[in-house]
Amino acid sequence: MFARNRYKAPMLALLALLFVLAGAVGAQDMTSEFVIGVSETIVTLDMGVRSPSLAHKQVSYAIYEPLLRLETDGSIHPALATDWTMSDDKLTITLNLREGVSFHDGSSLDADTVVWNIDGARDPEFGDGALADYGRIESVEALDDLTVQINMSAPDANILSALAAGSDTRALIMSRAAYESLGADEYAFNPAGTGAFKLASWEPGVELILERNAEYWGESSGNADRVAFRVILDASAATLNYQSGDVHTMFSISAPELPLLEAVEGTVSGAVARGVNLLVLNMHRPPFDNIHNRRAVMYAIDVEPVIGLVYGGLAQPARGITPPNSFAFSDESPPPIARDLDAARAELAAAGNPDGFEFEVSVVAQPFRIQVLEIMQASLAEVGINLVIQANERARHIAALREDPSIAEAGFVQILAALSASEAYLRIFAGCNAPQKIVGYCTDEYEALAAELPGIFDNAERIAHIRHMNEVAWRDTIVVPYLYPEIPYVYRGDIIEGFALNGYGLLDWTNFSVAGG
Amino acid sequence: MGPYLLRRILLMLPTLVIVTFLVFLLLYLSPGDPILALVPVDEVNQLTDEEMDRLRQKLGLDRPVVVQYADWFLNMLRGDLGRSIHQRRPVIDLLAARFPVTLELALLSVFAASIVAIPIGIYTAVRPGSVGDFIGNIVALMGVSAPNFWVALLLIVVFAVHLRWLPAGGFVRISDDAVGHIERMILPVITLGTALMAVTMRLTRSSMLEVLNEDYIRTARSKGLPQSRVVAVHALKNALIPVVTTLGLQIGRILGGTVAIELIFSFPGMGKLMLDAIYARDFPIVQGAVLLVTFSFVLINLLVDIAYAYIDPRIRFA
Repeated sequence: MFARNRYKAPMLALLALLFVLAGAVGAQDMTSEFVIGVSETIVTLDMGVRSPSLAHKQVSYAIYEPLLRLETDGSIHPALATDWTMSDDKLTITLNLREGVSFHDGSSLDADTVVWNIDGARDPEFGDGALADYGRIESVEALDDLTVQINMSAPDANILSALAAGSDTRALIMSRAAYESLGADEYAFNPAGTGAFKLASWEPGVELILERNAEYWGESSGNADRVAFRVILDASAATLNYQSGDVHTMFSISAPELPLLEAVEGTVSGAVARGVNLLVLNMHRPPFDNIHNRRAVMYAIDVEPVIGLVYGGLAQPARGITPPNSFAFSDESPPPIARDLDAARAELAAAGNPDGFEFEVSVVAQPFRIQVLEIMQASLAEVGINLVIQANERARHIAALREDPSIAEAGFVQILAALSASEAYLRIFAGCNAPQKIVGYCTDEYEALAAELPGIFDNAERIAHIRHMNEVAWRDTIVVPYLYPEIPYVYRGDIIEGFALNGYGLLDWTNFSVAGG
Repeated sequence: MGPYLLRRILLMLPTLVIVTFLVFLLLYLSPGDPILALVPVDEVNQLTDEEMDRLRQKLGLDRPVVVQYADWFLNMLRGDLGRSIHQRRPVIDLLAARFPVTLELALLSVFAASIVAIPIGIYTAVRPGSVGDFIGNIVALMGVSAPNFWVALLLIVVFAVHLRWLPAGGFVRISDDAVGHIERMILPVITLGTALMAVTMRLTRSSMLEVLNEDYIRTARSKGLPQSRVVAVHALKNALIPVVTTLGLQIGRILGGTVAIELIFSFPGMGKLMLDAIYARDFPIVQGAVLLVTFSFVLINLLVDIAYAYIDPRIRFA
């Protein structure tokens, strides 16, 4: 007879062991650390390499600082430079550096280090190559230990924003001593800046831990000693991590997850308006070489269902390429998209195709992007326009926008980068040298406007000029901007105090505190 | 055994060359430029054409594909698997960080599945048609039917969200925090082990049932040997051969990556490394990872073949 009881006991013991083990190791305080859940992998912290993600930017601005600080209204404030002067001809900028600032490796901030940083960012052979924002810098020199002079080849009204690293983390200041002693490859994983936090440990693709910089030069009212960035790529898993208390803050949340997160006790939620979503139209060939077809699409798209169903209400209808987080945004002109099927039909008739037409839109095969296009598909069908969704792998999609206008007649674009230069949003699509070649908008009128801009230093005039450029692009319907998304975030208000994001969606690292910290 | 092993090891070399070349070719032929993949999809404005050309040249991607492969292969023979395009680190370092994690996960999952599945499989085979057999079959069916990602999320909901016994995800190296390491291993191991357990249980049961009907088992019983000795000594060894084969293949499969598990538990394994690399057209990582996984798979198959000889002494290698 088979001894059945002989197997029963070990089985029960095994199960019991599993549960005891689980209970024993799990009995701990899971809120003792401030953990930020991010949905992107941080791949390097070498500021010679362009910032590829919001998570990368958050960490970069914790570790590093710029020479100047840019506010969302376009105003410039001191950071590592205490003050600056610009010559009357706008060709010389003199920066006075802050005294007594140390990098995380113990080396001091001085003029030679700043010159080395700016020269590095201008060098096509350094890191990812020359920073376009520094294109008009002719030379940089150290006048003394704490004074730097920048000589311009031509006036550039955007240069102070560029020095404030408003659009590119490559303008943040690295420790030259650490970089040269470690070499680029090692430095990328052992960064040294002057920021309020320094890198404690990093398991790429998993978790990055920052710890407070006790030697920080600035004032810091927060008490957080350790901050962990945990990479959780799956949205459901990220929500469960937040619900379980393992994660205390999350950025870039998808709309369907937001109510689940807001339901967690102590949660405070908010959203930062950031960027613009557009359909870029291929003006190199039919049907969008005809402005009436472009306008027909603009009038026929129904934006409200997209905002309600896909964005959970966290977006607003677009009114031009320049988004609300840009200081050149105007809520007066141009007008927001208003659906007008009669106008759409009239444009189709003017284009010579009153029954509509068909066009393919290249899009990265992600559910929310496809969902947006499916809603557009339904609304465009009402006037006979047949939108065909071409779900591409990301590299092919980027090729469709930048390299090969034969791939698709249109493309789905979401610009989430917070760009410091207001005109930078326009520059992506408009102009003869625009990187998104699919648009192909190259007119003398627009080129002349773009060429004038760097020489306009008066802020009010500059804003008026950019608004005019925006209106010209709108008039010619070079793209169809349909909404301005908002980036939702949540945090545990019962655990974190002083949590604040600036207009660029970046955390204020000096003021937040952790309860019981 | 010696000549057999030598022949098998020599056969590994053409396998590795062919697999790596095919992967290289497929990556090269697939649409998408690795330089474009450096740019986040929502920030395609950032790179100028000149920057792209310069980066392409700097990374050696402007050379003919055959030259690129030959270069990679010769470096590989010297132990240099190149440098990641995206992460800018030596591929060998990236693999050294990820492979042990996946190997540990694979071995623990197979071990956990085996210690549960084999005894239950034996039990249900010895008592076919019993209540225990019925329950075992139901459990096996559920284990096979439930998708990994669903089991993973369910376990997180129960053990992390409601009971708060275990963390919902993350990874800690055992050298940094042994307890933290164990607690973060439990849920991924149970998740992977669940499906594996179900398959192994069913396989053990069917294999045991077949062996228990053999003549030599009848002879053993007629000699008056106790049932436990008949099962454990005479039947089990023969019944284990297909089970060992399957477990070997499963280890190989897990080493190749368990992307869903790694994504859900934020686990730094081979699967996520390869997936990211494929999306990013990070050829050096894909090549290095495929080489390592192929080598491991072939090696495990060899070990499984060798294990046959120990399980069943009748098997001889020529």
